[in-house]
Amino acid sequence: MANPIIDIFKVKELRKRIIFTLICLLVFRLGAYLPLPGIDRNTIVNYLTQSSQGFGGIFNFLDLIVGGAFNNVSIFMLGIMPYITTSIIINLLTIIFPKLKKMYEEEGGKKKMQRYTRYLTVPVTMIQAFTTVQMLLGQIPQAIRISNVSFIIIGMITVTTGTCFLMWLGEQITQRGIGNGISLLIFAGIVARIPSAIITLVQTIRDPNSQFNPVFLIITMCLFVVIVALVIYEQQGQRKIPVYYAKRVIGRKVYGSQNHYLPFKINPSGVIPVIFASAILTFPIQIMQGLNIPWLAGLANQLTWDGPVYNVLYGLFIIGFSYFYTQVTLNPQDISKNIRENGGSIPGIRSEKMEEYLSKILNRIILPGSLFLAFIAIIPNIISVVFHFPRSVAALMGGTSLLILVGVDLDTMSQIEGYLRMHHHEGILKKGKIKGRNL
Amino acid sequence: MKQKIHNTYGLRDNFRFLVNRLKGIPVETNLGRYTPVVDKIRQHSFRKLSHSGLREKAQEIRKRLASGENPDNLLPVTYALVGELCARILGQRPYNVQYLAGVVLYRGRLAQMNTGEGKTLAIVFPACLQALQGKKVHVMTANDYLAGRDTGFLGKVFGFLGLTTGCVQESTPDTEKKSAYKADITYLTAKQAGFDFLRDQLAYNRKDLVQEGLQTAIIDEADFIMIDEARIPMVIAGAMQGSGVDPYAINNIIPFLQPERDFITDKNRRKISLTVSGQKMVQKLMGCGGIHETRSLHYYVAVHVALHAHHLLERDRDYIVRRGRIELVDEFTGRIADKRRWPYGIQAALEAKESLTLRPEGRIYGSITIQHFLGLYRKIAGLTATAVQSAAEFHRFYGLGTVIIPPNMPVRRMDAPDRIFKTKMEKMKAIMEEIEKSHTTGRPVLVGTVSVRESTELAKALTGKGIPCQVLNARNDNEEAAIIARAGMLSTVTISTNMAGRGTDIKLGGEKGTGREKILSLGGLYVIGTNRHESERIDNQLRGRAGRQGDPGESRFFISLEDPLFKRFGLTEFIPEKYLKPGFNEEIHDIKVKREVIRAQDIIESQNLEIRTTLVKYSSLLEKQRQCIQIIRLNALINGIFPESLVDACRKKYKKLQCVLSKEKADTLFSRILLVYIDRFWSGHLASADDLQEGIHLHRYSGDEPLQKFIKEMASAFESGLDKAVLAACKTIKDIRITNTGIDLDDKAISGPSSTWTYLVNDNLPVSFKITWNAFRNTGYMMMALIFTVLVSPVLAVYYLVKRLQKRKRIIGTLKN
Repeated sequence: MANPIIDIFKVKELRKRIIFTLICLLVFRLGAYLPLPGIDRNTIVNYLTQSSQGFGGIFNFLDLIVGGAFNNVSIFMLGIMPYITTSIIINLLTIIFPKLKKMYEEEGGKKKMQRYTRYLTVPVTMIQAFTTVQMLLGQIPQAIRISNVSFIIIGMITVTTGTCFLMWLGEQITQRGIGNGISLLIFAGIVARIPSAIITLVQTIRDPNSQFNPVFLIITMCLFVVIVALVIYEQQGQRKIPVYYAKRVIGRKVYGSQNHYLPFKINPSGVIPVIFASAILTFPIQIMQGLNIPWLAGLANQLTWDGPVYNVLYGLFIIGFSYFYTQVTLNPQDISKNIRENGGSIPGIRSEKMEEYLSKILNRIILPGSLFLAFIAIIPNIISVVFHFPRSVAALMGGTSLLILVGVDLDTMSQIEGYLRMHHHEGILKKGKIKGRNL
Repeated sequence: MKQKIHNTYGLRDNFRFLVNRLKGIPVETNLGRYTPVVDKIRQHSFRKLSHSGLREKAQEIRKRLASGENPDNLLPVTYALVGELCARILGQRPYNVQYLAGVVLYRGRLAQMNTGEGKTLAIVFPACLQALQGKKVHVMTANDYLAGRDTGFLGKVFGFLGLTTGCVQESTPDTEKKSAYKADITYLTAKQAGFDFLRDQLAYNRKDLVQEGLQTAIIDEADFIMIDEARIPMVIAGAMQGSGVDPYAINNIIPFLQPERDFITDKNRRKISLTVSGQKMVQKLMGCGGIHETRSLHYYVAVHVALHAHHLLERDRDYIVRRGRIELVDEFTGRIADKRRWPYGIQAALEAKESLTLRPEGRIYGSITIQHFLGLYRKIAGLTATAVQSAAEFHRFYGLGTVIIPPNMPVRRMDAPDRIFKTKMEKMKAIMEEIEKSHTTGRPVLVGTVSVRESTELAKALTGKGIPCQVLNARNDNEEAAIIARAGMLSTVTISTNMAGRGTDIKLGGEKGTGREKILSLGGLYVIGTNRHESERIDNQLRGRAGRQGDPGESRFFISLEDPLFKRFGLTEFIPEKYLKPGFNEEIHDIKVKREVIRAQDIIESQNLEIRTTLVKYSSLLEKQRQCIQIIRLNALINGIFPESLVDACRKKYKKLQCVLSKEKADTLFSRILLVYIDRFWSGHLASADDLQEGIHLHRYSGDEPLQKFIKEMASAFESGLDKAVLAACKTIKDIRITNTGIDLDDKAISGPSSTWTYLVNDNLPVSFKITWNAFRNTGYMMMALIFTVLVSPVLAVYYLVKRLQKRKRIIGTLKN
């Protein structure tokens, strides 16, 4: 393999899939700039430049997730979020109702559930769309050019349609393109912010009034490279716990003595604790500021993103949620049960002590993992405060954006690598490629 | 004579086609593309031509095809000629629908054709046209019996055209196999073709190769081969030493282990595993260490295997004991599968369970899935009576579109609704009564049972009641033809396993049609099913035994709530309480219960689909690797071309050997050594692939896709392993000592498997393992959404609503002021 990138485009299927994915993402990006009908874009742009904070608080996170579509008040302003919401609702329902759980566990049930999820997404989107449309009416009534009632109706319908379309688009990417469609849609949203971030950066450098020192730029860039490397390193880090299966015996050799292991990632819960922590912090603060109670507002002012209190709390929350969330996703009881039911065991650990052992290991792994996570999450704030970086630029250099970018990237790359591997064998197959000669 | 092709689809069928079309599944019902061809065929009439005239015509077609004329243009005349031959030689003049099916098959599609419509004849046309072009045709039948029958029956027709016919069965010796494969048209089962293909992959001599390339396959009972059987890959294994634990010793402790307490089975009865208490029990009884101790792991392997043999496999259902041997009963055909064994020591455990002598264990030498094997043919086509239900799968895995051929005569069979009982005993009682009722009138009855045991039990009970009956099951498969011939006669009761479920053609009144009129007046053949099968398709196949060629007939299934279908998925939970009460003993007429049956079948069907999909996904890479191995092997075996690294390393040795031996002998020696090492590597590679699959699902815990992981690991293992194998071959070659008398070579180093057989491999795929929460791990998206919906959304909605109301109040207030 001379050049992997050229190789990627040499494989017909891969090429087709990548092009398909790119087209889908392009459609998504174009849609993210189509504003809702009945809204005046200029007013919104003015409003946003004035407030310079977007719609503030929680909506900035939303905006991050839907790739700027939210602040654009576009037809995709909710992204595919309602779809995910519905998945969770259905998931919770299966826990509550045993009948549903049974249905899910049957093999046909999985598909049926997927179908139900899709159906249920429509009403859920309607509700969320109603909320957001209400918010627009509350925040910037001056931008709306049609009557309130018709704006609510049209807005809801448009946003719902947009979401359903994205849901379909995501599934198409997963099926016919490469990578996980939904992750890639988010990925594209974040990538789309890079150009504007660069423009902001250049403007800040040129602005004579800014405190920004270009020397810091170089330092931060070097730092950035280090951070990216660290994130990749962390994402790949695994603790491998060997597992033996007493199922197979071929000849004298018991197979499975070296091959199987239980992989635990250093950071098993991904970005989720970060998002959870920031939501938990931001949302109450916003409410506190909104309510006209002086002491609460005062407290809220202490908790701004650049203050030390906020960042310490932020870090602690991340660590806390890492522990909590790992318990949810990697439940030692479930894992042990699964291993046991497949006739497996962990060498050197008594079967009945398996849960205990796994809990111990997990708890040990999470501490460094969550510390690192907290560090990555706080980086943008540090860069922003210490180096006077514009916030929109700093946000890309760490925190959720960076974690998502790296995570999705690694996933997609691993899939591409799979295709390349297959192709490599195909290459061997083609005539003349098996190097052989007459003796 | 111009026959009309009826288009008789029900409303339900039409709806299904519409749905399929919307889903993009190609099911063709509009025959407009094919009927003009049939009209063209009909324009040729050879009725008046003499025998020699027909022969001349055949010669002419041959010549024109050889001169490169487009076969499509010659299709009508060829078909008409073959049709005339069928009429003269076999006494069967083809119907239009048979021509139609022939055209559809030639176009490489899947034809759905009802039972008794003459599928056997429909295959003859495309087979002839293809073979006349010099392309070898494999016609794949559902079983060996049909392969033999059709070869004998149709051989004359092919012979008249100057085409040779061959037949390969499991019992065919290798020497005859070779000539059978050389024939223009070969009748055999798909499995046979696949296994011979795999055997060829193990050949060490050019002359051991039996197959002549894979060109065209026409598959009868396509859904059976391409869907039901496709769940299990074909595997070939060779003898080798056992595991070192005495299966008899393990066998003795199995009675001490109690279900639920010591071991548990999963709901699909595919897996069995020890609980903690079971592990302790084994530790105590065997006096070995715990399962977590590496040195005693093999005891647990043996215990698992023995548990499998004792509790998941049943005598007279899964296997029979005959002549001091375990003989496997094929799950789908109900027939004995020759040269087939259970893998991973299960066979030995079974032999211990039945107190038989132990036979050597096996090691896998080659494997291929049916999907991939059929994919190796340049052209495939198929036909079956039940295709529509699985049209999507045919298209997805085989690229075959489905065409529905309307029946020659409208179907007059009555499919009576199921009768449902609470217990098995009541069901059997009702079945007996039903048989008795029909039998007294003289109407022939065919009873379809699910196992050898059930069939013999029922036969015993019937004989006890004074009703004579004949039994067809794996035990008396040699009398199959005679039994089937009698099955349609007056007052005959036939009890069969799945063996009669497919492909058999039961003629009313037997071959001669004695008493046919009377049987017709009684309502034709009555088919009784004692159980619903895994899928509606298989049920319909059994029903299809009645009502051939527009004859009347009837079918009915009997079900009890104790049937495995209900038990396996715990569906009894969904059945209304009142039917389960101890006092309740009546027949159940509840639509809800009937719906559960369909549900159970749906579940099994989609589960099996999942197994097949996973199988294809996981075996795709291995298939590519297998092809690499095949090329290397064939190059060495036939062309004398060796891998470059070997050539470079061993050139000197080769020259020396050439002097001592002849050039030819040196070549053979080289290829032999290379092939042995390549095969050993490949066998090990397959074993480790198999092993890797067992635990690959663990990677879900780190959020990785197991399939990707599998591909990566196996791809690099292949590349490095192949290099190593070639290097090892080089070393052996270099170590050859040349003595005065010839060469000195350790025989052990180059010995292959002493004997081979096929394996039944099942259920080792990481199907249906899910951690849903992990899906969006990398984006945290899910959390975000949850927070937004549960917390933010309602609060915000209220917040902004209140704000707007306040504002309005304020405005009204200022206005008032």
